[in-house]
Amino acid sequence: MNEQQLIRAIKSGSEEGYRTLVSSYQNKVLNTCLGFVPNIQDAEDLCQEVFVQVFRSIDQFREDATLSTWIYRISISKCLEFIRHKKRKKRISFFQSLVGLEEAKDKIASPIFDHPGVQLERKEETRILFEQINQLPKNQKIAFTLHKIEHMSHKEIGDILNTSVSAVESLIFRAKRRLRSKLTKLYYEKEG
Amino acid sequence: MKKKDNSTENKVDRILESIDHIQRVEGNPYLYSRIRERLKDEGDKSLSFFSRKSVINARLGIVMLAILCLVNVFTIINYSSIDRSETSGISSLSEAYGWSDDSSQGIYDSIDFE
Repeated sequence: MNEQQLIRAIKSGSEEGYRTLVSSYQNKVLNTCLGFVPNIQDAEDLCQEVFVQVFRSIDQFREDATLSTWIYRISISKCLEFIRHKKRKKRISFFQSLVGLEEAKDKIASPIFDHPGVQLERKEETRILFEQINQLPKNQKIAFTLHKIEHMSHKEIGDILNTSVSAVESLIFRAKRRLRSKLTKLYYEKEG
Repeated sequence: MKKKDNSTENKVDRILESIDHIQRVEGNPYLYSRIRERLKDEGDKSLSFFSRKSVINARLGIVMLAILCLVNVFTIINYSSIDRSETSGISSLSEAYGWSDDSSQGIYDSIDFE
């Protein structure tokens, strides 16, 4: 079944078509989610959210982009929404803890870094890197993550971000430069 | 100082490279059944495949009802035209035998019972 046949099948209500879509894209979606939210439990929940969203809006998919571009866009927007929500929750909990609410203090703690694809001996380094990636500006974060995690070409990333190849190159370049400078600063501060 | 710079640079390089060593993770084999359950649990009837079937059934029901209404209307129209033609037949017969409604006398009035 090619992409257009698959889309047609899902639009006409074929459960088999939807099952095929989930099985063909679930690894890509999960790994992308883990690239933004490095916690397997959260990433799996997000993966579910993505496919529910795909199911709900397949009728609105106009085929001006490829199916994979569209699914990646949904995945990214779900992940960014999740991160925003977590940050908001953390802020609220922080103010609640100032007021003296004890249970709020537990919520301030950062989510546990639990990426099953990270080797144990590199876990700490990867955790630090993910923390810094998370602080990058939105488009730099997306471009860098898709390039490094999904090994996407600049053209593919450009399609997802609706931007040119040169703009993607610039985003990745700036992301790398920013990460290096932040990490260098972090180590200088650490070592005095 | 230079030694410290080199060591920091090495550490930073190692951190930046750590992303290249991440292995791909296999998706959960039960993901599809979980999504299916979730769609069912959310009670989003218009969205689940099963409910899509029920939407189709409902549409089919509406079409059947419309057809039934049309058949009914058609039958009523036909019946009333048959009724009218039958009535006109009866009235012509009654006129022929002098039992016409126009006369103030009923059918029994023409019969002398005495």
